[in-house]
Amino acid sequence: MGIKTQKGELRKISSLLDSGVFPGTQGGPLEHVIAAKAIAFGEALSDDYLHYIVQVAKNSKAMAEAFMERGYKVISGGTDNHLNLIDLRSKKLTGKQAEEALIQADITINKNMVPFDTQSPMVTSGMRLGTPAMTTRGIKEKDVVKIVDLIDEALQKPDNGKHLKAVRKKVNKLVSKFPLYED
Amino acid sequence: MKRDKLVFELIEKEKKRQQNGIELIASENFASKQVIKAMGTVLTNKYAEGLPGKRYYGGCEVVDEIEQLAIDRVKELFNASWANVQPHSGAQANAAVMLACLKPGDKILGFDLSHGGHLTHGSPVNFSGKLYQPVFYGVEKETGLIDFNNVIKIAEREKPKMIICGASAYSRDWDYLKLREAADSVGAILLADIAHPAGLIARGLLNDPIEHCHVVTTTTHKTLRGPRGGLIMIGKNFDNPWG
Repeated sequence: MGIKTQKGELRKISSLLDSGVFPGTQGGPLEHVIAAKAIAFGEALSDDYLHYIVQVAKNSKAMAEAFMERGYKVISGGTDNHLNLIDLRSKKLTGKQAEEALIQADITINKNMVPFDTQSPMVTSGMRLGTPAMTTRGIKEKDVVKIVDLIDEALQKPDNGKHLKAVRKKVNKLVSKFPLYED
Repeated sequence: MKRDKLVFELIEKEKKRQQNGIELIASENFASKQVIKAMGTVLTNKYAEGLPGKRYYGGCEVVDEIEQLAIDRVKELFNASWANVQPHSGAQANAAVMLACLKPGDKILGFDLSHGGHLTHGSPVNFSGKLYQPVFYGVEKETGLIDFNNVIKIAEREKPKMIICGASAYSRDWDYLKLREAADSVGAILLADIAHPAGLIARGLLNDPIEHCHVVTTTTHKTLRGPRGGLIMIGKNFDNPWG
């Protein structure tokens, strides 16, 4: 029983998985990306990263609470990880409407199916939001509450371009406090 | 060579877009400057088919050291006994695992895409749903939670060759012990795709799949905050049961 080598030795699962990558499904590895992976794994082993990922989870919980306080339905009633899935049906909005309105306010989320969704995958009834990227920029729980307020404000008038432009100004001002890739 | 102004201007435009907005896509992150710098280096010139120390091309001494460093560090990070850091993406990692562990037509049990699962876990439009025979588990309508006892029941009924756990839009933790029970009850391989919560798992904030799942795949660019890519790990090596 079991796949063997040419010498008749039983192959370990690790050997089969290596073959599954190359030559099974890929050719040459991307060594420039592998070098970047090595750097990222080194970073992930650091205390700085531990503080970061703890904050990602805290921010995600703060986001769930802030949405629920504003009358949004959070699927499963909360979060254990870095993301939240919101059912927008109680707000009489589709995921597509929310995504399109928020992008005009310089807020990027994605529309997402909710369990037992009645809308198509291109429309959807929900939106998915995660805290990993903004936590890298340094946001804390109090900033998450401000962000949820801005989302809620934008979604009050999702078809009003002037309104969304006003929200965008507030968004740009908020993020300017959290620099990214500045030389 | 003349500098390609057009492309570099577009890259600058994208940088401004990232700087000016609130980014809440759950699968995105901002990699560090040194992570980004490494990707724009001479390493892109090198062919290195094979594994460190076992290459099909010459001149791989330096990339061998780099790849071994990546392997050693990720093993330490996840407490894994083996890792392959070559998959170009999470989808490629899953394709490699399925090719290694399944035959075309084998049954796989994954988390329903419309409940928060992933395309590569058996969607009919993906290779995983075209080459294999997919069946699904989902969340409970009332709670929005996965009932892991129900997954065991579905596994016993469907007898899949592989059970896949992991999701792209599920905000709760996973009971890997129960899932292993489901896998063992029918002799299935248990694959955990931790692409989304990998960083939280690595630093002990969520349940650890490494000790309970046969194989673990992930991306490297979401909560892990590395370059766009994938990898495969195992906690404990074992003899293959196939053939």
